[in-house]
Amino acid sequence: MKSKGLISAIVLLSFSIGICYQASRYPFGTVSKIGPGFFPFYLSIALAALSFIILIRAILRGAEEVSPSATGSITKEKALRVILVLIFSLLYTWAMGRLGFPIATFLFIVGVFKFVESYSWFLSILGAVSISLSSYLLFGVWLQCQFPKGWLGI
Amino acid sequence: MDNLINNLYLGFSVSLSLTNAFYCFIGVLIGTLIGVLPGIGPTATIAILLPMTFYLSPVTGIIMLAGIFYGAQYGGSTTSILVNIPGEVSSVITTLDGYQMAQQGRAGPALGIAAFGSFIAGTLATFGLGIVAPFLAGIALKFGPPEYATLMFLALITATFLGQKSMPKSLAMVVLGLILSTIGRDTITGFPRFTLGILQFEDGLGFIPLIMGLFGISEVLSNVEEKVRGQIFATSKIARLLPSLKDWRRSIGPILRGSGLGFFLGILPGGGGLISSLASYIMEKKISRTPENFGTGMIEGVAGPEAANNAGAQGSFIPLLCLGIPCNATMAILIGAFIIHGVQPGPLTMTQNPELFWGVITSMYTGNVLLLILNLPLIGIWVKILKVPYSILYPLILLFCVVGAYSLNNSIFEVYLTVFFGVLGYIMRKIDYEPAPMVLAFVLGPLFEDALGQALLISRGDYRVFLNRPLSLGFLVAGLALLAMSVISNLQKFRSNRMKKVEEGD
Repeated sequence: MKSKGLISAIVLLSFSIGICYQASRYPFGTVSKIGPGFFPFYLSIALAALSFIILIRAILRGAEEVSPSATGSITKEKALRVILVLIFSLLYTWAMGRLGFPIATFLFIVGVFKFVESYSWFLSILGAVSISLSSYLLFGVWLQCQFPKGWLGI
Repeated sequence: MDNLINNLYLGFSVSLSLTNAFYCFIGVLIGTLIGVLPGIGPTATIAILLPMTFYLSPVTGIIMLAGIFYGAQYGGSTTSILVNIPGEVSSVITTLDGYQMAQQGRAGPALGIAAFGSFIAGTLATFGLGIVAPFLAGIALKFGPPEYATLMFLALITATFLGQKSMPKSLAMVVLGLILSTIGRDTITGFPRFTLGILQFEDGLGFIPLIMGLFGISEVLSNVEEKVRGQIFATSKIARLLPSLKDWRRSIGPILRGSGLGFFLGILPGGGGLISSLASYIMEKKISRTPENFGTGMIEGVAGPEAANNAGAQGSFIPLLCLGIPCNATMAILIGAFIIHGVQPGPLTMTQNPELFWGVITSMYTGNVLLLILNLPLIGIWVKILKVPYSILYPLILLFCVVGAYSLNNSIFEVYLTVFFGVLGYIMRKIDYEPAPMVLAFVLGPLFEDALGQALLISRGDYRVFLNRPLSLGFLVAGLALLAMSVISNLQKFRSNRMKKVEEGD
């Protein structure tokens, strides 16, 4: 856990330095009429101070309390499932802009059912057809969401 | 009193209209559903369904979203009692005695008293809201920018208590949320800040992608790690739902006490839900003549906490409706919903938007009646829903997130942003950072900056403006005292941990 605390503190610290630098380039204004740079500048200082405290605590380690919800150990299999779901979600987003909502949804559901959940091809396709069709009827037809048009013109 | 009756009359005329009652029903139905289903909570659901309410009027949309929130408290208790799995965090306490009752063949009375207890608490809390809200809004009307700025400060400090983890980390999340809220054009000068040259950032970072990612997608990513297929729970048989006269005699005290305690704890920042039900359980155990029997199937241990968590859920609407300050993550999302619908919740809501204000309050009563009807006869259906495997559920949740994020501005960019925040939220969970304080700060950020700027403008840059006004000074002192208390308790914990380490080393 020590390294996680350390890395997160360093990331936060670098982020706050970046924000501080950027905010210092904005008009600061005066105390009676604060400019756009005033608020973010002081916030970045506060964040830097807090990340410094987190950093010190991580180094001293003593106070690094880990709650049970932070499931520290992540096995290869777990990571693979998360990464696969994430990749499918990104591909879904990408495909929605090009193939249209129903086709993208169909491919997304087939992908998740088949490759993450290892359902049979038959079940995956059946599930994907019913979900993509019903979601299109719900969102596209009933709620009239303006989805990007794909190959099929829907 | 006359005023209260008039206001409630106005409220009921709004909330009982056909459209509003229908959407209230939909809200509590969805609430019960997700309350029953483990793995998805009301915060994530409200975040995901928020874009769907854009097609509705503000009052209808808010009534539905509020219904999801308190409906989930009901649903959560069903699974706690029947299968020992709390559908919601706030129902954890109910598992202690509720499940034991079910094991002894008394699942029916446990479910019955949970539903009636919640209903009585909901009814009392509705009246409580009607009495306390105008009083508090009256005080809040006297607020100027300095009071608002210091109140926001107090709210942001208390937001760190929403995180039950490390205090510096929670505070860092609050500051990060404030920084994220500055993205986009400055409200006064129109100066673009941190837009990275991206056109979509000029209007600010989207609230919907932020909450859908942090609560919706990240929750899915965390749950998806484990492969769980077709879990079948062994459920106890439900014979008779209505509690006996003896059950009622034992329960009415805990229900009334739980309602009062839960309501007032709900008003406090970070309160409501779990804290209310826990406090009620502890209280009932303390005043019981047989405290040793708690945990073995005492009906008091179900009635009190169930009443408390429902009253707490409604009490948490008070800071939102009267001060425009959310006291938990769900309320932070609801405040976002108000703003998106063009209503700025605060002390003026009651006078400027009485239909909305009283409509939402009375809809909770309507909702409680609907929940009672939904929960008792339909309990068999809710139990069956438990059998829907998560492997089917989560692709649907992701689908809702994608559609919701897209339909906001018909923009694929917002969907990518949602996925980005989903990953960020997942990583945050892994390394023990909580998203709730960040979201709260993100919502309050622009209000805080505006109030601060205005306060300094009217005082011509004199910081003493925050000290010279009694209310503002009070908020400031309260905020600093909370901060100091937190720092001291953290230091003590730190020291005792070090001591332990040193002793172990010896």
